[in-house]
Amino acid sequence: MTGEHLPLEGIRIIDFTWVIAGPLTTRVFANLGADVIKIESRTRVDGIRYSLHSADRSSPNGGPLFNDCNPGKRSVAINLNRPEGVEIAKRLIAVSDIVVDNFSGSRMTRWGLGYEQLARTIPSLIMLSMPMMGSTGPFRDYRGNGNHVAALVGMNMSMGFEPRPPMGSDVAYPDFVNPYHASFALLVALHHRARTGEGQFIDLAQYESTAAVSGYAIPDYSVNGTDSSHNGNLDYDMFPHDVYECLPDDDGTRRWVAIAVRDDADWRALCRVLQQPEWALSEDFRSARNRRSHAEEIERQMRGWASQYDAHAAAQVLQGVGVPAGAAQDVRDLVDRDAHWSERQLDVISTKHGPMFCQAELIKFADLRIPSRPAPDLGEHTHSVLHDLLDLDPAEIERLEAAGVLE
Amino acid sequence: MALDDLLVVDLTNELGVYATKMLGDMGAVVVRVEPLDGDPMRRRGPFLGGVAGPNRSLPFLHFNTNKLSLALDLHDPTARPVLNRLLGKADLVVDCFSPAEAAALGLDSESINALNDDVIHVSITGFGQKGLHGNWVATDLIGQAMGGLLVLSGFPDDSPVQLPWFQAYHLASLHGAVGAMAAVVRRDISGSGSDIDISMQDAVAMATLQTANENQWILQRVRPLRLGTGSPARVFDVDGRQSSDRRVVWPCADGWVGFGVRPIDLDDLSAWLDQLNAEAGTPTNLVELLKGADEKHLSPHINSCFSKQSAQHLYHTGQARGLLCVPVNKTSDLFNDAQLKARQFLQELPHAETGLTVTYPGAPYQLSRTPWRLRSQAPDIGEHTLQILTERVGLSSDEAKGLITRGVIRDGKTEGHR
Repeated sequence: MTGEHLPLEGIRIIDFTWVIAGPLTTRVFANLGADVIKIESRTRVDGIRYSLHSADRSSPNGGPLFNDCNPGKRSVAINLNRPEGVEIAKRLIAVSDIVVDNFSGSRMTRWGLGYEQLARTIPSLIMLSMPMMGSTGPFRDYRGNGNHVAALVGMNMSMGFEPRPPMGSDVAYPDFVNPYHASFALLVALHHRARTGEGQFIDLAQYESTAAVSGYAIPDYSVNGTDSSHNGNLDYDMFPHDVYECLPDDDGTRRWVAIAVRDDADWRALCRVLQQPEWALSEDFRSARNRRSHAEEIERQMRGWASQYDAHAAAQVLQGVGVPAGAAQDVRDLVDRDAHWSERQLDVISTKHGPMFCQAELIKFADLRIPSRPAPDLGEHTHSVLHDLLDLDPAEIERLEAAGVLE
Repeated sequence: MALDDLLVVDLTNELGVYATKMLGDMGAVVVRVEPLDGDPMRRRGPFLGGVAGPNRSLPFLHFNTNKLSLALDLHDPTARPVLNRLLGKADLVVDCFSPAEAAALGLDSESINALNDDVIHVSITGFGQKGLHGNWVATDLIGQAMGGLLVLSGFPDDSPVQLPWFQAYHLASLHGAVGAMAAVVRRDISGSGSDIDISMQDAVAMATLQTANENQWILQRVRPLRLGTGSPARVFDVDGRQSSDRRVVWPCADGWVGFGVRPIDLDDLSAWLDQLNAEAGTPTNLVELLKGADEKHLSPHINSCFSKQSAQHLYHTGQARGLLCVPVNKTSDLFNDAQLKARQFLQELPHAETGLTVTYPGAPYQLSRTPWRLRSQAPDIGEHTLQILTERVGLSSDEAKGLITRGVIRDGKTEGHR
């Protein structure tokens, strides 16, 4: 749509982050029109660049996972271990609004790129760091990735089935929470800057940011002494609430449908589907508490029912009578069977490395179309950014390249 | 505070209540509109002391910190003029109405925009405002299931298992809050309002991006499911190896530690195990024995060493060597954590009714100039009705009191705490 302005156009971010959580922080900004410039280096390449390669596995470019995490960003290659490299980074920061990094400890400060150092000359600068432990405290230099953070906040000990080991999830789940706390904090800081002209430093500890989504677990422990436990798919208030095994796929993969009975109205609807009309009328089954005391009987009935159906068909039947239900989908379901989701979210973009699929920006503005764009090759925009933003002429850029500053 | 210039009308349920908490905790004036007999969430346990009560629901207390309460019946036509005036003054309106519910209530986007042309309207629902499943009903478990997250947790020989603490709701709210603030910044720049549609299923599917990326199925015909390794590590393999033996959780003397072995760690790891084994009186020389060994051969040595060590000792000695080791904590462990204590992450507030000290999770982020703050406990039913109607909506005291007398609205403050 010509002439249409994306919401965050005009904002520029210098992005030192890598792997997943950092790039997902700036992904929203890039999708919504900000100029996100990744500072990368051939001397320490983001491992995600090599992930899921369908083509050339030794190339840092063309990886679909990297593409999904870094759509529409620009990439400038700078060797920050060279003083001239740090100078270039500083000059880029001087013409930008936001700096983001996810290094641990004082790496940025040692490069001369710490907040205190930068804010002296750029008081309106907004900077966010997102190490595991935060920037202060006795263990601030401790490190880990998303799965470590999940273990630290109690997630592993609060999920799963007894007596299995507390493995947690195969998803590095904190990496999908922390970027959104980070983006939110950055946007709050931008609003404060719009009101006052002031920038600020945002110290985000991934440990704390993830503990912040533990719901009422912390209050519950403090007043009731209730500690973490492995409760499978059960719920405090709802019963029945679980997954029930359905017919397997043609290739033998086991399938389940998730069902959650919120209240007695859902229960009565479920009873009609199960063909148990007496249950719907009986006082014995009114309220989740009463139903729990008949758990074995109810579960047996539900397992019997679900086992006759394809998981999607089972969900369809229950949704048809207003009962929350859904197949436990995998990526094949999402792509091939879930027309609702793929219509909203599955984009294909043609890149110079071939077509790639990605998830669209899920924040949908009614009056905007947000295109999905390719991720940059490593250092793809070094020349254009240094020329356009810093007025460096081609000879100067060549000299820097020859001196190993831009790699 | 950073957002104290923003008036938010909060019409959310479980899917969006964390989004409005995020706004309120950074200073926005968040008015939660609840029925005269109280938000249904007040009836959800667990309860403080195991005793039910409208101000004793721990979910309600946690998710509604720093918010105000206006008690008004959305379905009562005589209450609508009041609500409409409030909507007209709002900077943001956040709700969780399905397309059918919104239409029935006259609170769809068009109606809200008619009342307030630069309002920021955020809708957070199970499947979004558009599409085949727009009127499907979803709880958190359904969101985790339909978004592809459920099948990625647990062991391959078990059923899939949910993440704890309502992560589908949290993800929906997180994206809703980011959308809300992006719209605020957009309005700061261009003056225009926004209409935003968030689907919980979309938010959940985003979290599967690394472990089960859509390109794996479309381009590689691979359908990742749970391996029970506790890690997405298999997708990092440059050499294409399925690293299902790359475990992340190991038993130790008093519990478990999270510890991932990376190829670059092998020498440090051997030295560390030797140090620990020497301390335990069972010395080894793994630095020599394991020179050039494959990661696969490490498990028995790790298990044997860890079985004699506490989680805390492994944590600190491992981290001292740059190894990625953490304790697998329970919630109670967070209360004894020196790092969280130093940063004052846990925040206490006395419970108004009982005087008991309730500990809440604190700031997810520390902003140097406009910090997160826990200012007030979740409100009583209608605690701020009179204040909001007179100070924000512009009714006179008599007009407001007339509405109270006729039962159109409820003022909790004059009723007092139970």
